[in-house]
Parts: sequence; structure tokens; C-alpha cells
Amino acid sequence: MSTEVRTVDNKDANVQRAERHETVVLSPAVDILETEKDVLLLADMPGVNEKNVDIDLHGNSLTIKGHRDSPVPAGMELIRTEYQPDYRYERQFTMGDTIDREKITAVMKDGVLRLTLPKVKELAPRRIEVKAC
Amino acid sequence: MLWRRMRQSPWNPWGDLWNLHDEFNRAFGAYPWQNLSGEFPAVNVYESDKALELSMKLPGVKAKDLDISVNQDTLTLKGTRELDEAPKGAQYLRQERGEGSFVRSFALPFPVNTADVAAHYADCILTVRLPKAESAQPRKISIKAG
Repeated sequence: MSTEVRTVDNKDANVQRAERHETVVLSPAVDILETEKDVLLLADMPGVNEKNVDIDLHGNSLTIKGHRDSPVPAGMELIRTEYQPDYRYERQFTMGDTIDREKITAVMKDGVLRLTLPKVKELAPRRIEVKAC
Repeated sequence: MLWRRMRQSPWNPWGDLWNLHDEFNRAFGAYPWQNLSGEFPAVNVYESDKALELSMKLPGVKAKDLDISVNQDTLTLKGTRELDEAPKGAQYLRQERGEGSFVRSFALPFPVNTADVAAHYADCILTVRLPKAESAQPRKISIKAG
């Protein structure tokens, strides 16, 4: 059996980048769904827990952010990498006027952020009665 | 990137072009969220004298839908991702999150203590710790005075 002798020089470029702890900003994949009463936004943010997620509302813009605690296991060395271990998520959305900003709620569970954006009451479907004159 | 080029794959006339495309995207960060390998799930491998640790991102996958098996030299991960959060009657305005099943196997470079393999799953990050078998651990060799 041959032995691979590893030195610092022949380390994979990605491993070297990971070792410099450069934080990359990733855009989370999202699903946006609409029901009669609200708009639902689901974002995948693996590695982010409820303490590390931030949601900013600024006028019409909604920004979701999430970061992760240091990922390197103690006493171990990274030998191969397919994703940068130091990353954070950020993505911005523009909301329409139909969203009731005061009532937006967010739940972060099992790496998925779930935002419920209720529609303004007046715009919820309403039946208009026609009166006989 | 080197290891990817060394992988066996069927010949593809557009292969070089795609490689170039991938390298460009990687270099200029066009799609930094994509796996560098294109495999799912993306894995980071850590090593110490005593163990190997795999760290994988499994967006949206629930613990109950994961199946990990290990034998002397192979670790196999199977899983399904179901998007069942959608309320009844909801309409998709945008869908970026995928659904389906996956399988990925890892050939282990040394024998492991299968009984002591431990897996931990939190916030869609799977960590599998594989303790090296005694025979694979570094051994101190004492030098006897002649």
C-alpha cells in the first residue's frame, strides 16, 4: 500500500480558503406561497438556529439574515471541503402594499425559516352583497 | 478541484466547456452557494489521529427521513426531502427548494469501529464521527538503544 505524504503546499485550494476562515455570503433558497389570508416565505438556512437569525423590515424591503457558530470540530483538521465552512445567509425581498407589516411573524425550526406575512384585512376577499332597490 | 478532475466519469464532448464554466463561476463567485462538487449533500471532512468527522448540509431534510449505514469501509447516507409545509390550497409564487431522494456513499480510507460511529443532526447539519479502528491509529514506535 502506498502512502500519501501530505504537506501544506499540496493542499486543495478550497481547504486553504476554508482555513483562512473567509466568510462567504450565501443566498438561501426560498419558496414563496400565497393563501387567501397570507403570504408564506420558507427559506433554507442549514446550520442557523433561532438565536442567529435576523429579520429587518425597512419600508418595503424585508431582509433575512442568518449566521452560524464556529463549525470546526475541536482538535481536528479539515482535509477535504465541498462547501466553505464559514458562511452566512442574506437575502432581500420587496413587499407589496398588501402585506400588513405589523403582523409579520417568523419561526426558525430545524434549519428552515418560516415567515408568515398576513395580507391587509381590507384586501382579504369579501363578498359584496347586492341589495334590491 | 484536483480530485474532481480525477474522478471517473463518462466522456462528454462538452465536458471541458462545462469545467471551464464551473471554474469561472467558482473563481468569480457567481454561484457561491452551489456545491463545489455538484454532489448532494455537500460534505466537509475533518480528521484527527483518532477519528474522521463528516459534516454535511441537508437543507430542509428531517431527521426521520435520514438513513445512515456503515460497514468496515463504506458509509452510506440515504434520505428523502419532502416539502410538506405548504398549507392546503396555497399557491406557489416562487419555488426554489427542491424535493426528492438522494444517496451518497463514502469509501473510508481506513477501517472504523462501526459500533462507535456516532451521528448528530441539528439545524439541517449532519455530523458523523467515525472513530478509527485501533489498527488505523498512529502508533508510537520506541527506539531501542543499540
